[in-house]
Amino acid sequence: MWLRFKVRPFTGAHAIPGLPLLVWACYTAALIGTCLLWAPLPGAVRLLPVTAAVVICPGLALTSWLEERDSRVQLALSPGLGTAVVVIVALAMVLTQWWHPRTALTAIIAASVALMALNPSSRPGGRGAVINRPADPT
Amino acid sequence: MVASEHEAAAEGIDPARRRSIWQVLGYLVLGAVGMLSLVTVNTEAMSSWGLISVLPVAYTVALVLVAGSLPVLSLRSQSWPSFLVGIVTLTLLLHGAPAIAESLPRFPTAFLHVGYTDFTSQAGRILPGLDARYSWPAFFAAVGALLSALGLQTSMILLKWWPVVLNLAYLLPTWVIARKFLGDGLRTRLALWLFLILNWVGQDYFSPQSVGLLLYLTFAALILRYRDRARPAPGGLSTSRKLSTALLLVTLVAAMAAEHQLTPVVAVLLAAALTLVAGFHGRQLLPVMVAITVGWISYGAVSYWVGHSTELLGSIGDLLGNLGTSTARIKGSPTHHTIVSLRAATAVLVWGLAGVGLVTAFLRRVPGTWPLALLLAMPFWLLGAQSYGGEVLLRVYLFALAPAAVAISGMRLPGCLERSAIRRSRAGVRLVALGCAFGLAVTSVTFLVTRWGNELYEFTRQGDMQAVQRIYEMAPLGSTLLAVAPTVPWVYREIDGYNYLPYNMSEFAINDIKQVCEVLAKAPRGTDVFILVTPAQVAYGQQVYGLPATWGPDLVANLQQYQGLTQVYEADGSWIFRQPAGSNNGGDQVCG
Repeated sequence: MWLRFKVRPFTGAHAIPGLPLLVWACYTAALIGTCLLWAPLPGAVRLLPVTAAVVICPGLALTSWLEERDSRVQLALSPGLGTAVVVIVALAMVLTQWWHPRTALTAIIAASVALMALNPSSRPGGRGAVINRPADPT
Repeated sequence: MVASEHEAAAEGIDPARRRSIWQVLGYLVLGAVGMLSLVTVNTEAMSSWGLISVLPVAYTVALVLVAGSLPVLSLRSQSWPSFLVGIVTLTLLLHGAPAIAESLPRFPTAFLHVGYTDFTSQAGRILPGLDARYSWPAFFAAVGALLSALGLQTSMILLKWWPVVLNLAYLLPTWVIARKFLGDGLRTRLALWLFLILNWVGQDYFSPQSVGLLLYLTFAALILRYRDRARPAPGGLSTSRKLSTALLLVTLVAAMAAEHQLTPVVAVLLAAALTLVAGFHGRQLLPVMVAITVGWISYGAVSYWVGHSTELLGSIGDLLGNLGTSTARIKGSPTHHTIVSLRAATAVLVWGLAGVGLVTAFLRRVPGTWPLALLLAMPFWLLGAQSYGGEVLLRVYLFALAPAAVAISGMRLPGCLERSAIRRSRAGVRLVALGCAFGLAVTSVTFLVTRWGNELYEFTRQGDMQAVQRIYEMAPLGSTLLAVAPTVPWVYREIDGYNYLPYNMSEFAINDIKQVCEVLAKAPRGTDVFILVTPAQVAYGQQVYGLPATWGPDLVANLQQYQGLTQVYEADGSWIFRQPAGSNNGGDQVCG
């Protein structure tokens, strides 16, 4: 095995309180962020919510794949990971001389939503459905 | 149960909830009093001790009370909302004070980063040959992309509150690291508290390294969280978890590699050490991380290292030399000497206490001590790699601060803040809690000196800014601009429009007319030369080089007498001198 971590597997027995909240926070931030990104409002007004959305959405989407059992940890790792994604995409734009930041940031948000939606842990009815149920007392 | 709690119980309100509400209100009031009192600060009256010399008493009292509140409130279990409001208040008071007290954004280098960011935002490209910073352009590209997407013309708007936002962001991965070793209790909260109070390094301004530290802490939190060999592993891990963890670690290293030169090196060292010593199972990732880091330096930063290879590699292995360049900063005026010595003493004390914390943890066989020790130790390898312009010790302190705060918080003192001890001796624990509160309060006041002690030459005066704006109005594009010291808030516009000569304190400070001539001779042939002298530069000379109070006026008098220079501006203690293009014959100028 090229990468082996020895921790307990993510199963239904380890329900994640708060994860549905994070999933919906990601979707909401994505919606608001995208709208504000294209809205004809002053940049200073849009700065904070758009930055939050652009950093938090990819962060939450990526950490959801970590199958972290504590949603607070997922939230705590999100800004750093989201920043890393924005940094790499922006760098790629500079290096390729393809400078379309608004399109790129929208694509990051859209990809984050898709990544989150694809994750079984965050889908109602999928493996992650257990997150909406109380933890197995056994 | 006290009387108020009886009343609360009688009214049907949970006493703990009521206590929590009072605590939150207390923090909000203290925060408001502290921050509002800063509006009255007169920065012009600042002494050589920096910001603390003009801070109002109300601010200091609010800071001391908030800083010392954690152990006292925790005696009766502080609620999460109360803690969160408390730590945000503490961050604002400690790291946001200049944003209120000073009318303009602070720190000259931040203005330079504004120039680079704005250029990238507007042009969609970088100028690698202009400055070493553009060899690690990820920060400028990321912030520039955001500005461009929002239609903002300048990143100046970000400068004031950047340190507050970044310090709050640092707390998140630091919490994950602390919780890994200390659990969910008071010690983890204490680690976060300590991180804020001990972070005097000042690298949290608008800069690539500020974001680099966030990426590094996230990397450390992630790699430690998924490293654990001790946990049982029935059935192993899902493929998606393995892949996503590996992908995220590589993503973080890639972002760090193009962000800042030192950060990925520490990250890779940490991964290597964890693989060798502490059971990180992703050893196959190591070559990828090394390849990314070395690859960027070799390819991405080629314009920097060509011609600077000695600077980059020359001090590898020169441990004492690198250490010496850092300690050489302990110089200057008596006040500056004291401030820098206090910083050094704080660093030694923090490392010493963290060492004691680790030793006690090893003796008690606390699980996870090795990874924490590695996290603390890895940044020290930088000492053997580079002097980093005399800043390497600062960077070592910064990278090691989060694990040091965790190690100090985890230190086992007899009965200190332990629940079991509370049952044994309530009075003793109260005494210890009060002692801890006193220590935190004193450290927070020390922070005001160590963090804001250089403010006399680091804050931006209205006069400095007006002089810089005036020079941009007067100087034709292509002119040579020269400052005496590096404390000038410029290069925030037209980064490639002017030729900024490197300052040279030793030449100007000598006050020798011949030296002025030699500096002017470095300007390219046929360009106008503008020399800017501001109060911040004069203060810099006095503080850092220990020059007499008369050196500024002497320098100005010297420049006024110099043939070929014309004084074109004087206001609020700032002067601009101009040497017209016709009288500048470049390197042919004869000095003597």
